[in-house]
Amino acid sequence: MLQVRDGDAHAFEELMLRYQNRLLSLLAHMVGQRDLAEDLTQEVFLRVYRARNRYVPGAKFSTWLFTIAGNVASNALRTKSRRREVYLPPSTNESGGYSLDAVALAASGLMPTRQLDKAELCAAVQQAIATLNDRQRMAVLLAKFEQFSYADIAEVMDMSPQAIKSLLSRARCNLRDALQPYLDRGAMINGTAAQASAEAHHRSPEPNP
Amino acid sequence: MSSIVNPQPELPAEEELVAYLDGELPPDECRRIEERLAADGNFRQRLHDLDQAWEALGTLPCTRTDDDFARTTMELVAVAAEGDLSKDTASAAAVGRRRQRWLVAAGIVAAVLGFAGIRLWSWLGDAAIVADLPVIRYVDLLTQIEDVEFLRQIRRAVPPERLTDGESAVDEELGHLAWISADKGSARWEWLEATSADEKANLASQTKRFKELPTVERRRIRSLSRDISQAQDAKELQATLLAYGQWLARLTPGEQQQLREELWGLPGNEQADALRRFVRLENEQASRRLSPEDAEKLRNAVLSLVEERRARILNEMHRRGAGDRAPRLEGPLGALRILSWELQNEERANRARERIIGQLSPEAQAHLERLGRGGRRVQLWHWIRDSLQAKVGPAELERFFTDELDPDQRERLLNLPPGEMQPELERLYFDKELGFRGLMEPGDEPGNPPGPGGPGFRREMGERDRPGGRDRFDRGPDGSRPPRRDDDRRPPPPRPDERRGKAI
Repeated sequence: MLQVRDGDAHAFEELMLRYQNRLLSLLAHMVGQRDLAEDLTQEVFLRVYRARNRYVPGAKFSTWLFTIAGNVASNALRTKSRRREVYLPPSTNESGGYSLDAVALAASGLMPTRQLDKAELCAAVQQAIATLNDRQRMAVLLAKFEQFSYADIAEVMDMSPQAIKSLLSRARCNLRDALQPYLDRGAMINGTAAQASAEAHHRSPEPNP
Repeated sequence: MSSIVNPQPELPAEEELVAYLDGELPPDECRRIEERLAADGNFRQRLHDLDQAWEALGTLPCTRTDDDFARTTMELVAVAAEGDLSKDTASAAAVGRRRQRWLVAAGIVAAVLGFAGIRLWSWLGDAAIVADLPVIRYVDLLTQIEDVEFLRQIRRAVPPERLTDGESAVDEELGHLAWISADKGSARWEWLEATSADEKANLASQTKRFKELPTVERRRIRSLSRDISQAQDAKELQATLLAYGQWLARLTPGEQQQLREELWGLPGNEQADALRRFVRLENEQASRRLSPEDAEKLRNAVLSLVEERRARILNEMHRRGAGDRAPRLEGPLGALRILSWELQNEERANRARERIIGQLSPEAQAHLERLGRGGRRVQLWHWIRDSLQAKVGPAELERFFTDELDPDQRERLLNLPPGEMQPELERLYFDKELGFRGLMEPGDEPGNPPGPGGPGFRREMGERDRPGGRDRFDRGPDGSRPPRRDDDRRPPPPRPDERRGKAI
């Protein structure tokens, strides 16, 4: 980052290539829309460029970067809430995963059971993430995917480490509660996927006994 | 009896469990948690449930950027940076206007910011290029490739070694391709910095062409480039791509377009057959072109021969009283005339041929050898004419068109596209006026030799050499006359309505 600050184009590109996928993933999970997440990721890099002279040597770059990302995500979520938009889990199809449609198809016997399990679990986790509030979601994503310490997350989110400890505890309990039915019984939370599966079964002709 | 019950140790709060799982507890608290875990099954279950839910997050998909993302981000940043600098510059200028005493200083600031803007724009623009470097460098080539399967068809139809002059050129280019395709941006920057000024200029024009492509085509060739690099047979595909590119470079843009139109969309086997045919024909044509080195050697050999003969021919002309009617012997055209006369004498013609051909590279000599007598004569004549770059004036060409060609020949010329008529007319002029037969070897047959213009050339234009012309040019200075051919005859005079050729 110091090289970026000094106008090194190579370094800026290196930073961008190193972090673009991580940022995009985080923001996609935060806002639930891939296209919006891409715009926000570009906005983050734009802010990094504009703020490069304010970067303090010795500061951890990833912390600084995700602080900017957190601010950008918060602004976007505020705008979305003013427009009464709701969080939608990102479509896993865009990322090579499985949508609920795929789960329904899988349930009809068109896919191997192993893939069915993965698709169902993925859909369940996305639903569970969606139940968290914005701050919990941000803390969870930073802890899980960026392996940030409580201190790092605290710096990014401008909170104390103790507050992050509480925040993450509540977030993980919420996740556990949301996922527990699925994990215990293989059932989807809120019955969403189970219902889709059941509907798919009903649509499929049943073999005569 | 004591009613005192040993109190159950207080269950750690969920926060402590979560912190334990996250490795955020101090060692003494970790020990306390672990002691409890060892003794309490319910406690272990609570930990397990939290951990299981946490591990399930690992199934969330990772969203990845596409190929365009880095480039568009850099462009966005570049545009924003330029805007910022413009504002800064304007601001500095405004300050300068308000404060007279800072006028000079503000001007300097504006200039510095402007310079910085150019520098900034330059490197940010470069960064955008870097993202597309593997596509930009081969933009002209990639637009000629339909898809990956098309490349495989090329490989099946024609081995790469038949498409190139040497494998080393392809190997070298493969090195460049690997370098600029590196995932690390720094490697691409290094390549950019290592390129010569000419390469950079070439890259700039390639970038311009790339940006001028329709969006759909830009996306298509980006995708194609990625497909090639990610294919299982990527190395073979890349070698084929580069070899094909070197072969394509021999073609004119029009020929490349024609090739593309004829090949794209054909079924696979027909594509391969058509491509094989194209390559064979082009390779035959290519061997008819002299290398620049051979052309230079040929030119020097001919001019040396001509200089040795010029004085003798001039003397002969004066002796025979040609006076002002003598044709000019200066310049490339004069050299061709001298050579033409020189070659009328069989003995001297043989020596001249040996001397000229002996200067050529083994490859060129081998090519002549393969052609046979008739083909060798035609080929050598055209090589000489091309190497001397002889040009004839428009008045002379017009006279030749109206006076020397027959109606069929004129009609054929007039039906040619404008860009082809003039070169064809010049070729006819040189062939007929300057002793096409001059290089004929003993025993040559008046058949249809291969050569520029194709086998149909002589058949169509015939053997109607102008006897008058032969009297004027073909008779040697020593008065010798080349053997007349049975089909030598004067063409019928053009009808009045055919004199439209004057318009050229």
